[in-house]
Amino acid sequence: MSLMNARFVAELLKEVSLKTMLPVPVKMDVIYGWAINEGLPRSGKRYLYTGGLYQLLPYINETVKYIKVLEKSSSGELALRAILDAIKVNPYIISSFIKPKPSEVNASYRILKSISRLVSKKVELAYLYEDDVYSGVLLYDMGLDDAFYEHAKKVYEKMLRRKATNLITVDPHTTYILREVYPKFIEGFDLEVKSYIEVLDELGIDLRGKARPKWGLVTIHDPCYYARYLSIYEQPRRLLSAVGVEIKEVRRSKKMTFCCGGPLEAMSPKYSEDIARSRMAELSSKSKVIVTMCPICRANLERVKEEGVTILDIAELLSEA
Amino acid sequence: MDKNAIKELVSSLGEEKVVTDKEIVRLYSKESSGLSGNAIAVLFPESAEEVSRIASIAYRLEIPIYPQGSSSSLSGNAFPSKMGVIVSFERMNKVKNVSLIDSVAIVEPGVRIEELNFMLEEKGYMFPIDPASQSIATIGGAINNGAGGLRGAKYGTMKDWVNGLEVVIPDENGTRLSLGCLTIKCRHGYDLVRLIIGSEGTLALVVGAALRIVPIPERVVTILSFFNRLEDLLNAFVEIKESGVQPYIAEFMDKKTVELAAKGVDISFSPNGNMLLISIDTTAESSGRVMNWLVDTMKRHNAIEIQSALMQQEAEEKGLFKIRRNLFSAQSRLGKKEGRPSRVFIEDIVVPPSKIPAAVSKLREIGEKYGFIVSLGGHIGDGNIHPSVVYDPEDEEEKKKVYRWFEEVMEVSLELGGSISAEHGIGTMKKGGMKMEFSEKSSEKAIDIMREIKAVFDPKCILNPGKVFDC
Amino acid sequence: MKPLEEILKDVSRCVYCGFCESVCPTLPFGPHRGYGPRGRINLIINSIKEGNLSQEAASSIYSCLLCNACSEVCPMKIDIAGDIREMKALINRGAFGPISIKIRER
Ligand SMILES: Cc1cc2nc3c(=O)[nH]c(=O)nc-3n(C[C@H](O)[C@H](O)[C@H](O)COP(=O)(O)OP(=O)(O)OC[C@H]3O[C@@H](n4cnc5c(N)ncnc54)[C@H](O)[C@@H]3O)c2cc1C
Ligand code: SF4
Ligand code: SF4
Repeated sequence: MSLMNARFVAELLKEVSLKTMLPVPVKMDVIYGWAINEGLPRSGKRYLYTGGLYQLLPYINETVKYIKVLEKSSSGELALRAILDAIKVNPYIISSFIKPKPSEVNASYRILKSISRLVSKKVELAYLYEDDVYSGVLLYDMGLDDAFYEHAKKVYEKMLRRKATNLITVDPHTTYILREVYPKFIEGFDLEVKSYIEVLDELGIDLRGKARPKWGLVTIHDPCYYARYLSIYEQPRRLLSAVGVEIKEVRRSKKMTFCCGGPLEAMSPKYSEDIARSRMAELSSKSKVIVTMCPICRANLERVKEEGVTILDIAELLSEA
Repeated sequence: MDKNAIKELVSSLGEEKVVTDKEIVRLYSKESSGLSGNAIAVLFPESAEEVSRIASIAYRLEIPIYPQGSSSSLSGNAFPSKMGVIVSFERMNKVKNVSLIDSVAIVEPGVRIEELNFMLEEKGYMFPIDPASQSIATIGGAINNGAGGLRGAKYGTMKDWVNGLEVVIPDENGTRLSLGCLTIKCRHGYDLVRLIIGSEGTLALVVGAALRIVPIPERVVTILSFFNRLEDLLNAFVEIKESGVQPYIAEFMDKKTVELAAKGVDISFSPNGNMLLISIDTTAESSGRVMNWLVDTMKRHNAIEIQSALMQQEAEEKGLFKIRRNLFSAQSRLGKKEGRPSRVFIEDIVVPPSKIPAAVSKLREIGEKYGFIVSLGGHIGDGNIHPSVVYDPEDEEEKKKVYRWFEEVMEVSLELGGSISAEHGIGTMKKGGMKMEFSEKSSEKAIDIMREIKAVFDPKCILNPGKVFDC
Repeated sequence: MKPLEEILKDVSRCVYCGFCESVCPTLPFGPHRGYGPRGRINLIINSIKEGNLSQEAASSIYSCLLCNACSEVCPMKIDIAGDIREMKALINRGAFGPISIKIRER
């Protein structure tokens, strides 16, 4: 049983976000590092907005592990409180403890590069670089509305300064929060927000050669926010079919998809893992190749991966075609 | 007493299986009928052995036990009507064994019907009792409520699908009994299995069941038709029956209810009139012929709109079941007053299917008399009708009116040779109705016999006390 | 963001059918019904009406994934995840006093 006070996590998140505009204290180049050699222009109308979730997830998970270690230490809650106080002064104080596996960081960079290259083929795409700040989605999910509001205002200002009119997003949470929640919090919010999956579906995907489905039969794990909140579930299927990938559906798919359990990770890793494991069993019963399209789903399913199972981000699959 | 009882239960089961937080206990003290009570704790046994320990402690300390599955009961069957402990079977939810050759599934009581069917489907089998609440109804709850479903006319109710039961009775030892057999054929004395089915948790705690299962039909053809006149609808149904065909599903909804239930449903045809939904199981070869005959029959009886599907998947794609599935949702919303609390009251009478037109016109009359918007739908195949109204539980006047409406509805069933409850059971709400029915049939003694049976199983009257009758 | 009365109005439409429980990912791994949508919605009703919330109830509400599977099957079309999120915000603002959240898996 894990009995950590979840409000501690909320408090920590709030403090770090206020100070750094990120959910974990890392340097901004973690977010735009992937784009250094991609040659994307700094200005334009359509911006790729990653919101950092792909890049930050390895760091978020390491932070959670670090908190767990502190919590289990002899001084337990006291240690947590001390850390919280220290963070209020200098959030970067814990940075040196948060060292994710380079392979995880590289994987998220690889996915982002694939996405940016796929989209660049179809539209003129600019990138926000140091203004590609985190959206504040975790603040909103945890019900830290005041902090979220403060954060969102700053994000919107940055977008306005960059004269953006269209944002192309890369993950379901950021897409949802920008498209559906920002307009409710921010007066006059006027940006068209589309997921790159929608964009590719609308404009068609360029095939490099004849489609050679390397992976044969796959199954799809729909993320809740795409499938239910944004009704994006036919689009990825059309894209996969277009590149010659065959799909075997699980019972709980599309609108009735089953959550990977990821959002509970920060509060109760064991709980989150139990949910992920039951989902993994369902998915792997259909195919040993599982396609995800959300960094949280990917990380959470990866942790409980069964032998012989491959988890691929849809962008990796599409860019191979 | 409470503190001691809790202490003893905790030391027997472990802290983790005894929940006493008042706000959580409250969640288990309410059922779908809207009725609620209070209890001192909720217990979560994980094995028959633990259930047996609970029964023995409760017997010794004389604490009422309220067994519970998902508490989706609609007649006051599952809520704690007096202070006691709730025994939730939600953690005893394993399918222990499925044997296709023996056509039997051995399950724990907390397995949900739909879950069992997802598992069986992979093997081409099914458990055919499909209450509209099957996504949450547990096997233990369905057994104890004697539940039925859409396929009632063809497959009957729970009483026809349970070969054997493992039960615990409340005595010094929490004695465990194995009743019935694994096989369908089983003739060892009185049929105690059938006695417990439909006993609403008043005789024994069910800790395991051996259920009959059947292959999923090769094909199911479906036809959805609408009629201006209810008599035409019934005549169409009569013709099907007289042709020697037993439909797989036969559901009807009257015109007004169709209007309500079709609202907000996304379908490509325009539902209008009284609705008849018929499915028939066939072979692949005969499906076309059966369908042509069905379409022809509906036309001959003046159907004004006909939609058909040769296969289950096609029926789903065309949305032929959508209106029927939306019935509960429509029933819950109809007549609801904005900003007021509301409760749905779903009646559950049964009449011989031939009496359905008479029942519908009487029920409409009564509804109008009380000024209620009544929805009328049900299982035409087995004569089970679910008239329902929505009312404001905080409006005393309206509550009284609902009660009178409810009594008159039950009277209609008896006048037409039916019964006051088809599948939802007696609970606390129909105790009066049950008396009325047996006295109508000059058989009051039957209730005395039931009482005596109850006393044999549960001498201290601690199992779901206050349900079915008082003891 | 949602006014309190609006949350209460929405959740009060619950008819306790439990359909939502059949699709909830947290319920099967949680210690009791509080860790599922029907439970969370009714904890919200009771606590808003009565103004108090136990740690166990608050934790149950907090453990929601906001995956919204429940709303898809709710016959009353209650905005279950939305209301739960609003409730988290209320708890954070201290509407029910200082409560520590301890999420329990079974
Ligand atoms: C929307 C809706 C639609 C419905 N449609 C139908 C329908 O089509 N057909 C139908 O028949 N019913 C229907 N019902 C009623 C109800 O859902 C069924 O009777 C269902 O089978 C009850 O299952 P449950 O697990 O919720 O049992 P509960 O309500 O928890 O319990 C039912 C009874 O069984 C007892 N009990 C439960 N488990 C045990 C056990 N292990 N040992 C001993 N006693 C036990 C309880 O004390 C209670 O008396 C409907 C209900 C709703 C809300
Ligand atoms: S949104 Fe919360 S309550 Fe609803 S199904 Fe998901 S986890 Fe369960
Ligand atoms: S499905 Fe909707 S109405 Fe039914 S219990 Fe859940 S929240 Fe309440």
